[in-house]
Parts: sequence; C-alpha cells; structure tokens
Amino acid sequence: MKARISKKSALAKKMLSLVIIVFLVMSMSGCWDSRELDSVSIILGVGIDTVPFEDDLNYIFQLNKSLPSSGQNSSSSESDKQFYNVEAKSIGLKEAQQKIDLNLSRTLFMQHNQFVMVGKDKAKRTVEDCLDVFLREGSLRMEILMLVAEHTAKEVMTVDLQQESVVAVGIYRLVERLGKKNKAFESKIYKFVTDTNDVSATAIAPIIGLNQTGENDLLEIKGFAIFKDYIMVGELSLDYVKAYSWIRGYYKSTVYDVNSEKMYASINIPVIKYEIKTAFNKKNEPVINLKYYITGKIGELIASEKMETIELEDYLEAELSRQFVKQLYDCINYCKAMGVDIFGFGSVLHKNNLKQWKKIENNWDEYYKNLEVNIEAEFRIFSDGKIDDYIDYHKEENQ
Amino acid sequence: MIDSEKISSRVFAFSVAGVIQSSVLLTSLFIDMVRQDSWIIVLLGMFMVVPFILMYSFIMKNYPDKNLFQVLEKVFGRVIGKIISLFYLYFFFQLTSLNLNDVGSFINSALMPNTPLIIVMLITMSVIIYAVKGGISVITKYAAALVVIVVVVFLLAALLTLNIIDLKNFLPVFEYSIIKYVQGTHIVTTIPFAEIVIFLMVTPNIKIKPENIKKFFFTGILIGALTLLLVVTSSIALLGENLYLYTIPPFEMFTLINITSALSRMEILSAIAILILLFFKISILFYVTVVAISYFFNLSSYKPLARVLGIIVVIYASFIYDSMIIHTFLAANITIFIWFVFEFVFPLAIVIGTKVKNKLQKAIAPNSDTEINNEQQGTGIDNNSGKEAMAESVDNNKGKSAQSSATQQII
Repeated sequence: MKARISKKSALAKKMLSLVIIVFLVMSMSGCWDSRELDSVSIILGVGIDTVPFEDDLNYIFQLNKSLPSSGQNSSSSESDKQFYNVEAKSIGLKEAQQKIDLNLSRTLFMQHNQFVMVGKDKAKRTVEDCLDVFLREGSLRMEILMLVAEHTAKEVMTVDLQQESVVAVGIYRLVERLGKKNKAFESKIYKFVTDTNDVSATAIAPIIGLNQTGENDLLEIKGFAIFKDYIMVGELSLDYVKAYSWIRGYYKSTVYDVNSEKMYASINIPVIKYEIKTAFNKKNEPVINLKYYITGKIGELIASEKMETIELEDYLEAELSRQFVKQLYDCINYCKAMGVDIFGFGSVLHKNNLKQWKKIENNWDEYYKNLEVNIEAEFRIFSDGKIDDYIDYHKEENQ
Repeated sequence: MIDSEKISSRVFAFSVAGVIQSSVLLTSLFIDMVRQDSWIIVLLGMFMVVPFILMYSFIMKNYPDKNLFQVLEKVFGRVIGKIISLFYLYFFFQLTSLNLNDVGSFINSALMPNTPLIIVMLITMSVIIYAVKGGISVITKYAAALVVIVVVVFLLAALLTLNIIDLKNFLPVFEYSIIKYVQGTHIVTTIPFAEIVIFLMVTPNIKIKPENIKKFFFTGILIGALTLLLVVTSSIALLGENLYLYTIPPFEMFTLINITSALSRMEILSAIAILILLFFKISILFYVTVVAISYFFNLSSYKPLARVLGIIVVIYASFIYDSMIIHTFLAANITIFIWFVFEFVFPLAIVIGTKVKNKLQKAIAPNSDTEINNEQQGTGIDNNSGKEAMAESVDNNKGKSAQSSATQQII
C-alpha cells in the first residue's frame, strides 16, 4: 500500500515537474512578445508634417515591402518599389500607429526605424512633442536620426531614388556616412535632446531636400536647421556648418579649401589640435579663446600666379589662417545676431567657471550677443603631395 | 540550526559584492539628485558605510554562532527581541518583494512589454524557490562567477563606448546644494550598501575566523561599490545632460554601443547582467526571509515554507505599488528612513547592549559566583529556554563563541 502511494506521489511530482518545465519553456521564450517576420510591417522611417488649419499632425510611416529577390530589375515603377508609405492624422505618434494598424494586415514594427523627419513648417512651431515618444517608449530607439525636411517630410519620403530602392535607407546612409566624417551630421535624437537640455538650449539638425537639377532626383543636405528650445529659429548654410564644426571641435581630419586671387588650393588636413579656453575680462565679462594648430598637405593646386615652393607654403599658410579665422568669425557673428549659442559657449563657461557662470546665467543671452571670442589659427603645410612643383614647370623654366 | 550548511569566507565576500552590484538598477534614485556628480555620491556612500560594516562585523564577531534573531533575543531579552525580530521579518519580506517587483518591472518595461508582470515574477520565483531549498551553499555557490561576469559585462560596455564618451560630462563638479549630496549619500548608503545587514541572518553559516570578518566584509563592499562606480561613471560619460531622464541609465548606455553594425545595440548584455544580479540578490533575500520566519516560529526546517512563502511574495509583489512612479518616489523619500532603522539603529542598539553587558560582566567579575549567576539571569543573558542554554553550553565547550568562553571563564 505504502509503495503504491509513494509511486503515485513520485508520478505526481514528475507530472508537476513536466508541467512546470513546459510552462517555463513556453513563457521564457517570450510567447507573449513573439513577433513573426511575416506578421510585421517594418517601419524604416517616420515623417511628421503639419496639416493646414488643423492641430493634428500628419504622420507618415515608410514601410518595407517584401518582394521576391530574384528576377526583379531596379526600375522605379510604382509596383516595383520596395517600400510604401502609410499616413495618419493624429496628435501623437502612438495614436497614428493605432489608426494605421486598423488598415494593415500586419503589425507595425518600430524597432528598425532609422529616422524621424520633421517638415520645416512643423519644425518652426516646435519638435518637442514629436521627440518625447522616441525616448520614452521602450520599443523605440533613441539613437535614430533627427532630420528636417526642406519643405515637407512627405515630399522627401516619396521620391524615387536610382541608387537606393528604399528612400529611408538612402536618407539614413547619406547622413550616417557624412556623420563618420563630421560629428555635426551625427544628428541622433538623444544627442539632439542632450544639446537642447544644455544651458544654451540649442541644437541643430540636417535639412534634407531634393536635387532635381539632373535626370534623376537626388537626396541633398541643404544645410542645418537651428533649434532653440525645440523651435526652429534659423538655418545654417553648409559653409557655416563647416565653421560650426571647427568651433565645436568636431573635425579630427578634413579637407580645407583656399580660394584667393592667386590660387585655389585644397589642403588635406590629417592632424588638428584644438583648444577652447575661457577667461573673464576686467569688466568680469566672459571671454572665449579658441586656438587651432592645423597641419596639412596640398591635395590640389590651381595657381594663376606661380611661386617658389617656400614662398608658396608661406603664402598658403597665411591665406589659410586668414580665411579660416574670417570664416569662423562670420559664423559666430551670424549666430550672435540670431541670439543662438549653437557652439555651446555657455556650456563651456558653465562647466569650467561655475562660480562666474552662476552670476551671468540669467542674462546669458545678452552676454552672448556681446561675447568676446578670440580665434588663433596656426597652419603648417608639411607636404606638397606626390609632386613638388607645378605640372607645367618646364614653361616656367623656359621663361 | 535550521540550515547547517556552511559557506567559505571568500564566497561570503563575493555574496556581499553581488548584493551591492545588483543595485545598478536603482542608480536613478540618486542620479536624479546630483546628476553629473553622482560618482561623488557613490564614493561618499563607500565611506559612509564603514561604520555600518564595523557594527555588523562587531555583531558577527561577538555572536559567531547566532543569527540576528538569536542575537536580538540574547541582548534584549526574549520579549523585546521577538518584537524587534518581527519588525525585521517585515524588513526582509518587504525587501524580497520589492526586488522581485523590480525584476518584473524591468523585464516588462525593457524586454517583454506584453508579458504579464505576474508571469515574469512567478517564473523568477520558481527558480529562486528551487535554489533556496538547496540551502545557502547552493545559492552562493556561483557568487564569485556571477560577480566576475557582471564586472566583465560593464567593463566591456565602458570599453565599447570609448568612442562616444565625453569626459566633459563630469563638469561642473559640486554644482548642487549640500543638502542634495546628503540626500544622495543617504540613498546610496541605505538602499544598496547597508542592505548587507541581511548577512547577519546567516552568520552561523559562514566559515570565517572572527578576526577576518571585517576584512571580507570590506572586500565585498569594495568590489560591489567599485562596480557601481564603474556603472555610474560610464553612464555619466555617455548620457551627459540626458542622464537624469532615464529610468535605468545603465541599461540605456548599452543601447548606444555602436562600433560597427555588428557590434551595436548590446542592451541585452546589460539585461542579462542585471537579471543575474537581481536573481542572486532575491535568492539571498528570500532565503533570509524563510529562515527568519522559521526561527521566529521555532520550526525545525525552513524548506516546506519556501513554496508557500514564494507564492505569497509573488502575490504581494504584484500589488505592492500601483506604479513604478510611486515606488521610486517612496524609495527615495520614505523607505530610506525606515530602512535606516533596520540597518543602523537596531544594530547600533545591539552593539551598545553588548558593550554594556560586557562591561557589567567585567565589573562584577571579582564578586562571588552566585552574584554573577544572579546578575546574568537578571539581565537575561542566560534566560533562554533549556534547549538553547544547552546548545550554548555545547558552543562554549567548542570554544566557538568568544563571549560564551568569557562567561565560562568567569563562572
């Protein structure tokens, strides 16, 4: 009798263990959260535009389309597109997602989203309401790109590209590639929010537009939008973006062009030493000192006036310094006039001179407009490149 | 003794380290206070916890064969000892439930948002019950491995994010009012560091020479605190001004890893490390809770209690707070003051009580044996049950307890 009971209890224990194991395997593999590839629509990009005469925003989701991989050419007929856009008018992204969900056979999948592109009109109102969800929602990524469309996001996101079959991929690759060369293009949402949360409360984001001059439409970065407290207050031209990147110390290596009456020269700059220091003058006003030690070699030279090598180097170094300093001052003055400290000078003062900063922080906007910025740039040309003379040197010798 | 298994002093040190490391999930509690200066808070916490460790070491050294409940009864007498023990029961139970709730909330918010919270907690608790039934040696067996894995994971994160860290994020230093630093230090001292008071419940299970207790306590604290420091400094360097925005900064920093397209989005590593630690901490907490209840009700074994209590903990943890917002607010503003009583006030009372008794014993030592015996009975030193007195006499013979030996010599 006892043996039978113990057998029964052993069996019950085994059964219980089996149930627990099955239950654990089912649950631990995340059944509740499982997503099959053929049941989701992967969102590759999100566009946000204003709607005329309405408070709602127009949310555009670019979704990938599953196509057979073989036998397809890359022509851009409507049916061959490897993406499609879906739109919904709503106050927020989540609401738009819910509305679109009602029209799709697949669930929207946000984890692979690459960017959020805001139409210029929306950017001029505010982007604060568009960004919250990307930082708050657990399934969304905060390292996606923050972009501004030259006109509307819809216009950019519906373009036919020859190089890429999906516009969102093209946009992402363009910005990501440039971001590797210049940190200013690394316009990630978390960085955008970090910069705006800084004492200067400013941030910038690339403006993406279309180049329709040639046979095919091309994506183009038109400049950068300047934001203050999440509102677009101005634009930076690409020339100013270069100056901005120098001032922020974003360049580790780059190319710098010299244009003067005597010559055009493109200088490859592999080594940049950069220093930003703060000081306070006798009136107890803040002063920013920028110092650059730049070493480069000539990459291209088109001269209207020929010079000896040493003379050429001296001329280039002096001209480089002059143009460089002027370019930086122009950019600073442009931003000062706008009253936006995109360079983070306020932040540098806050970090390095906390006591003095506390005295001026409430009037920083005023101090910034009259801020003394000293720029020193020292260029050194260390190589002429593969050739050490002009390619038409014999003419010179004959003369 | 309810659980006769022993753990080595090294395992003990790594267990202490593991318990402290597991608080990486709670860094937002003090990061909110002083943002870029949070690393200072961790350092201050390391110094502030020293008196706590000295107290705990004193108690463990003086009562090496007694758990906290036995010590309380010995020092304060049976009635007061039992009352304080009852409070400690609440403390252990609450800690277990809160940490289980943290696991559920973490998995729910960061990994599996659609999985019901109770399922996550039930599964976690099932494994913990299984571990706890194995005894203290089973729970702590892999403490060293777990601690090392976690250190490696966070070191890896620090290395892989070297390309995007900004050391200027640490500036300016000492920007906030002193009160914020005091509050922050209080939080970091009370919530992760001094929670090691739970180890007073397993004193009899630790094979350690009384003179080495301090050393291993400090070793554990140092490993744990340095890991916490690594996590906090990495979070500051990476997240900068945004640091205070996130609920779990150590988790978010892993999302920023982007070396190549293959080496990016490694938050799952962080999730694994955090879950390993929390599993370890809850196992110890749950073990302490079941052992404490068994002692309190004079049960001969704690094992039958594990399953029932596990289910109670899961149910309680499911309803403990309506939301994470309330949980975080209470933890930073109220819980730290309640925990302080358990982590500092009661242990301090034990230390003072023990010292007073020792002095009294020394003072009356020259008097007659009869007087000493009367005095001991009056102060409750030996007013245990016959069974406990017998057990103590055995302990004295073995020479395990310094105090017991002293009493024997006097007698």
